Order: sequence, then structure tokens, then C-alpha cells
Amino acid sequence: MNKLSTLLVACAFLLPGCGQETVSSSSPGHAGGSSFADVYAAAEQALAVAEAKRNVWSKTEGLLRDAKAADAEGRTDEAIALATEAKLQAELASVQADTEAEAWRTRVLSN
Amino acid sequence: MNNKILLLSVIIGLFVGAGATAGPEEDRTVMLEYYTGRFPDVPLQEFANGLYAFDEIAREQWIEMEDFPPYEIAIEDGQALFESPFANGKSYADCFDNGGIGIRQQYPHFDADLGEVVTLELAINQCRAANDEESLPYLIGDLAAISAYMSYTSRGNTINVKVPQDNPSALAAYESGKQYYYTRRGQLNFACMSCHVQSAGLMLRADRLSTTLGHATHWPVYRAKWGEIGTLHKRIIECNSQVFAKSLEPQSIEYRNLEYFLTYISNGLELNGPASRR
Repeated sequence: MNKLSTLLVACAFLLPGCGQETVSSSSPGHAGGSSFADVYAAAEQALAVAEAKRNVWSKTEGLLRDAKAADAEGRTDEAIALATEAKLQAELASVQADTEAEAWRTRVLSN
Repeated sequence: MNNKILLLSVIIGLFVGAGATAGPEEDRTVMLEYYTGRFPDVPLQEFANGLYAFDEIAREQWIEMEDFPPYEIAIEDGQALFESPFANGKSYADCFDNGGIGIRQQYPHFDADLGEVVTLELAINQCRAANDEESLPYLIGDLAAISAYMSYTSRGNTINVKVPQDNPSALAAYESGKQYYYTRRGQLNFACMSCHVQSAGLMLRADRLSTTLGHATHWPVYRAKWGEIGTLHKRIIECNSQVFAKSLEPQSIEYRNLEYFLTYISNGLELNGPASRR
């Protein structure tokens, strides 16, 4: 799944928190112009936050591994794109965990 | 929207609401009413057979598969392992009530001393640890076989999981499992209930989705797609994977609490494990 479709699918389900995260992710100086090391570190940090919430998406760590491999092979643009997607996924997973901390209650079966 | 989907939406709408603060027995009763209302022709005990309770074609295939049960070897292996003494001369029988025979319905339970939910699989490894034996992997292999044998000796016994009212920690564990069940997770943003309440009985690609009522009766299971026998936590991990959520560790607190909730919901049903599934 590419970055755009990932974002669209995630936004469709996470509207309350998605706007905030998207603004944050596209803020000046975030990914554009950043080095791979910066983006990768930011992604790792976002992943650590999601991990602490016990809510990581299954593809995120693989994206980070792929990003590292792409960087090692000199495919810097691809590496940055992969790390950026990993960061976005981790942030969305965090938003999901925060939202669901209360939202789960609304779907409990009751009389 | 066709009439069936409209009717389904109305049924779900009637039941979904302010149940977050309900207690275990109210949760179980509501779940029971929901499924028996949705599948009025299915006898209660049939829910222990999963989707085979209401998918006639799949049921025919399953009954044929049960002529030569693919889990039979696991039962035999499990019995041999169960009866093999540890290095210190003791055995699994020394760790469990009634020598470990016919006791699966006691699991999972809340261990007040430990302050955690103990599943049968965890208890098997606790038994090994108490006898200076190494832990076995939780998902497949020897532990699943021992669990299969112990389930086999418990067939026909009625699930009667208790959440002690005088122990707030037990209720908290149950509530934690309930929260896990209703929480959306993964890139697909699915909760357990998305498939097994909202969509129970409907098709997801080539598979019909089962009901939560009966989910805990028949473990471990030989799944054709696994080609081997595996534990409930293996299936939960697979569910996580299917919604693109990173799975937790088998026998993690979260999974044990989920098993506590799932099994409580199936209280009153008879154990019928091990079982076979597609």
C-alpha cells in the first residue's frame, strides 16, 4: 500500500485525530529538506510512542527496515519516503490508541 | 441498501449502546440474546461449533473432516507427553486438580495470589517451571498437544468461568479483556466485534465469520490453513495480523484477559475441543 492510500484509509477511520496528525506531518521543515537520519530518528521516536501504547501497526517496523536498507544502498529519496510513511503510520497508530481509550465504550453491546 | 443489510443494521443498532459499564453476567446475557436473536434456528450448544452452526455447506465438509479428525495425533502425542515424568520424577498430574483430567473448564481463572488471569496453557508452563523444566512455546507443538489432550479429557464439561465479585482485580482483568475486544486496532481499524458481532454470519472473502459465543469452547484447534494444531493465542495473533496490527506476545496480560472475557461469554456451553477448522 503506498503512502497516499495508507493515509486515505487511515483518515477514513480516524477522522477525529487524523487532521491534527496530518497538519503536524506536513509542517514546514518536517520531512521536506530533512536528512534521512532526521526522518528516521523521528519515525523511530513515533514508533516508540505507539509501542508504549501497545498499539503498533504490523507494517510499520518493516517500512523502517526497508528505509534503512534503501539508505544503505544509496536510494536516499526512497529511504526518506519509506521512513516518512513509517512515521505517519506510527503517529496514526498512536492517535488510534488515544481515540480508542474511550471510543470502545460506544460499541459495547447492551440492552 | 438491501433489506437484509437494513434489518441487520437495525438489530445491531438496538443492541449497541451504553454497555461499557455493564457487569460480566449482563454482558453475557446481552451477547446471548443478540446471537440467539440473530440466528434463531441455531440451538444454543451449536454455537460451540463456530460457523459450522449456520453454514450448511461448510458444516458438511467439516463433518466429513471429523470422520478422520486431523487433531487425533495431537491428542495421542499430548497424552504421551502428559504422562511422561519430569526429571524429578513428578508429572503434570501432580500440578492440577483431579490429576489434570477433565479440568479444562476451570480455565482461565483469576489467580488471586498472582493477581493475574491464568490460562490452561500458562498453567502447563507454570507446572513445568515448578518442576525445573524449561517452558514450552505457547502457540504450537508440545504445549498445544498437551493442551489438546487435556481438552479431550474435558469434553462435555460445561464452561463455568467465574469473575469473583469480591475481587476488584478479577473484575478489572475481565474489563480489560472486554476493552480489548471492543477496541479498534491495526491499519484496517477493526475491533474483534467488527467481525464477530457486527459481521457474524456474513462472508469475508471466502470465509463466513463466526460468533463470539462459542469462541472459547474448542481449543486447541487443527486449522487446515495452519496444517497443525495451535492454541487460541495463535488464532488471536492471526486475527491481529489480518487487520494489520502488530501482535502481542502469546500469553501476554492482554491476551489472557481477552481469553477471560471470551470464555466468560461462552459460560454454559460445553467444551468440545480439540476441534478442526478450515
